[in-house]
Amino acid sequence: MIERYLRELSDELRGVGIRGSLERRILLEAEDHLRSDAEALQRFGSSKVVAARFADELATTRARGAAAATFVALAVAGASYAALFVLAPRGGDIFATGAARTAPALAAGALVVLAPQVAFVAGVLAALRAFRFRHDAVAPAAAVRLLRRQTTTALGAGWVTLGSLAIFGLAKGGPEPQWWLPALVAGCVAGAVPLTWATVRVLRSRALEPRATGPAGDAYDDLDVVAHGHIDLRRRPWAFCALAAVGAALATAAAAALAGQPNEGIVNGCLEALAVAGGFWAFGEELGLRPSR
Amino acid sequence: MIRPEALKGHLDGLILAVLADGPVHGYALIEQLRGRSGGSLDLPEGTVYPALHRLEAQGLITSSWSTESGRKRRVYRLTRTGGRALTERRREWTQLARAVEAVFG
Repeated sequence: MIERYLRELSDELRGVGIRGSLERRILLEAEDHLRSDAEALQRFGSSKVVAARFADELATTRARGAAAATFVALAVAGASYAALFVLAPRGGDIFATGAARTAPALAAGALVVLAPQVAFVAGVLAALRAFRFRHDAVAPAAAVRLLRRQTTTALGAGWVTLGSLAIFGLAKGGPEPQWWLPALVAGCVAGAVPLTWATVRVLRSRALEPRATGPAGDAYDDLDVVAHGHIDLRRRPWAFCALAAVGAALATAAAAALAGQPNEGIVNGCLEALAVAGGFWAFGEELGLRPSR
Repeated sequence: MIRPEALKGHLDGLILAVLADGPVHGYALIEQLRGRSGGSLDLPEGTVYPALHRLEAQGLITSSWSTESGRKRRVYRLTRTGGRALTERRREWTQLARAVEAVFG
């Protein structure tokens, strides 16, 4: 009977994504428990319930941990990014480098500006969600999946930022001091190390298949952690998008005006507003900012 | 008998309280939970192990294998952080019990 139960438990654990050393440890502990008295098997609970409980608890804990790791990794990678952005030699003509270098440099140049913004928004939303569920032993499976999507988007955008920065730094052309290439490599490595660490945490988290029922909630539930009910734009997500776009445009224009380039600020502000709207359209569903179709 | 769902939110504190008396393996821990509650805490025993794994991941307890009478057993013990968490859980429980008592009269 005990052997049969352990076989069933093993199958159920694999079914929810628990394998390897963790599966072996759970089975050893279960076997020790079941052999402790004659009625232990009856009191242990069905293999399905036990495996689902393991998946639900571990998925919640790991998804929270992966979100926190991603937030920290993006902060470290962001510092590298900022340092390289400041140090990057100015000047040079991107169109004078030849078609083979101009096209990737242009694409990478656009991504270097857009991807960090996606990483920032997704990372903040994931951190808020992880914070909201910080006391929960088990969060609904749908809520965990949304947190994992936000975390994966943030991390993916972090990697795209780093890759684009490397391509842009190599392909943009122009006069470059000798220290630039080593600085570029060092900056990218300094960003890649924490991103790799976070990627491992995210992959471990995504391997589990939680089963707990309950609503996923959305980003507005998470924003309420800081908004305390003052903002309720869930029914009008595009109004929220418009507010965010206008805010970003004004901030961009104001920063340029302070730097003595008001005309450039107006153009960049408009482009920033378009970028926010485009990002909301492309990632809104994935990040829980607008309802799924 | 207390329903398992009534334990929601309190199981962690109960586990930490048992471990505050010294390291034990899973089976003994569950026996102590049942014994100390006069048999009132009767939950599916297999569901205590996920909580043990989670508390370990949170750094509130640690565990290691030991061999007793030729049997390999996983022994759990409270960490210093777990001790502090237990104090906090006790304080929360006292407040909750007082509030519920006051309402029930």
